[in-house]
Amino acid sequence: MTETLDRKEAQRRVERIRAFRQQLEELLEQGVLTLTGEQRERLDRHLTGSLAELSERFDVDVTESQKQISLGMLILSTLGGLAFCAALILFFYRFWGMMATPAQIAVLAGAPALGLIGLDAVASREKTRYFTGLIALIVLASFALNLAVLGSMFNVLPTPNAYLAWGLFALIVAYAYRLRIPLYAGLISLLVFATTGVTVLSGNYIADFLLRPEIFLPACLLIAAVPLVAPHRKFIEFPAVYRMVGMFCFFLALEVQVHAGRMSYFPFAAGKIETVYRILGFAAAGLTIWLGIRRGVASMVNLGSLFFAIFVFDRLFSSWWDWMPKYLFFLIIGLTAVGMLAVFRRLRIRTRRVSA
Amino acid sequence: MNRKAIILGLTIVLVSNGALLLRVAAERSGTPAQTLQLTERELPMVPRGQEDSSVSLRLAWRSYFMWPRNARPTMEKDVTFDGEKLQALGFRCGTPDSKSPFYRQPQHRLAYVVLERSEETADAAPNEPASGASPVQSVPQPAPGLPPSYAPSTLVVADASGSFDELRTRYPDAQKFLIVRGVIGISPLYDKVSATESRWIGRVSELVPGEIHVPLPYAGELNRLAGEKGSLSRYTVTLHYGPRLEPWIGSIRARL
Repeated sequence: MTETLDRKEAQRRVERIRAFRQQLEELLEQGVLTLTGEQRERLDRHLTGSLAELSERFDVDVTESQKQISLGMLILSTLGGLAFCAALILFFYRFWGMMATPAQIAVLAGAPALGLIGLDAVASREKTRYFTGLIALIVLASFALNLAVLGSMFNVLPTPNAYLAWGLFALIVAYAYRLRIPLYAGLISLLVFATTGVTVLSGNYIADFLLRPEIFLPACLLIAAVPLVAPHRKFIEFPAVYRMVGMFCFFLALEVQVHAGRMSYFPFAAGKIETVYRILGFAAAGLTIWLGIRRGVASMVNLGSLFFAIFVFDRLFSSWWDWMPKYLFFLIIGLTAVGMLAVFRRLRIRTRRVSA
Repeated sequence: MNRKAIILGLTIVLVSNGALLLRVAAERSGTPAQTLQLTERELPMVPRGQEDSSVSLRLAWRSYFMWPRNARPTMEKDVTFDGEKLQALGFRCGTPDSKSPFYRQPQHRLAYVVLERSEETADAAPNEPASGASPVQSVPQPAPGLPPSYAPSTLVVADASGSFDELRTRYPDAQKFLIVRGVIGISPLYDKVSATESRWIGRVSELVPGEIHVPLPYAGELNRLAGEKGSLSRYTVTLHYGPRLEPWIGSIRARL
């Protein structure tokens, strides 16, 4: 893990060297700075040597074209991982009917166990994380298949516990090998575990957990609040994942609740509940933008702005679409968008000042 | 090597698999809570795609809503629950008007459901129908010209409760009354005269588990039969239920 952290630091150092070189060229061209031939040669040799060393030790991208290729490799490893997951699941379904029960259990439980050991072997040999990420997806899929198929093989009544096991397993893979996709998968599994657990405890059937968006709200806030309690100094890219999963699901649940007051646990008229949730949606989006600006987190500002816009357009649509001439409706939408652009432009300037 | 991650990951795999297998072993040890002989009519094979080599049986029960559209020989009413029965099942039932909205309570609850084998009592009233449960109807036959597979199951919903013991006391004949886990769903009943949703009505929306996996020793026989055309009862299944009402197949015999 230390090596991965160093690699990220190394990549940042490469970026700094490249920016320094560009700025130096401009300053030399403008005559602001002058260097003797010897000084220039020594500086170039030092910078080129540093880049070569970083590239050799950490396999970082030192040119723009390398960065583009790395992005392509990242996309390929994700798509490849998903394709392998599909292949694994289809392969198992194709042949599992021909296996006796003990063989089925051995294959189902053995696949994630062996996969985990294989994942560790690949991760310890790979400086980049492309193949590690790909194999991690296969390992997660094999564990999901394991419990799902075992449950159906033995005709077990559905319980939320499988989501807890999947969530914890995915978190272990995410933290051990510093991978974001397993972290997304783990957090979503734990969210489903929490909401299905509350659904079952409150007397509803497990599959009804999506009927009550309210139960998502506290669980989502808890997930989004994790980076506040645990700063993740070693895993600097993970807090963004917590915030994204927590806040995105929170706003999504609010948006559903705005249209479904009848699904609320609160004993008030559906219309009143919807109004309260609509106000809460605006307040939460505004608060997210404010917090994002204050803490200098661009992703929070973007997410808050996105849902603020969704709440505004949703409100306009539900209030005016039926009775207003359509040209007037779209004109107002356009004007609202212009007004919001002006507000967000000011926010952007403010964010820049805070970052500076 | 990240030894800690491997140990933690393997622990989760072992614990979750072990817990599930122990639960299954506990369920299947000792004398089964219920054992029944059912035919293809009650346990038809689940159609599967070419990419799936497994065999499953579906526990079929008679429900008006589950029949193919052109195979309804009679306009039989579904077995429904209302009033006190729904309250006993845990539903908080007010009047489904605008002040007590449709979704303001659990939509579905898991309950114990009694399935009566109506073949033996086709023309007779059921034993002590529970208050709030509509009477069991006679067994319908497939419509003329339709294949036998359209004939509905002989299992009909007779009652439901939150307690297995209560149901077993009320329906002691285990060969005639099968008790399973099922999901009761409620919906408002629309009254055409008053044009309002006057009361709540509950129905069994699904049985849990609805499909029963067939292990390899019996799957071959069913695969052979799947390719043959014949009567409705090509095989007999001995079905066991444990204390949690999770079923498993004891044996499958082809009927001559």
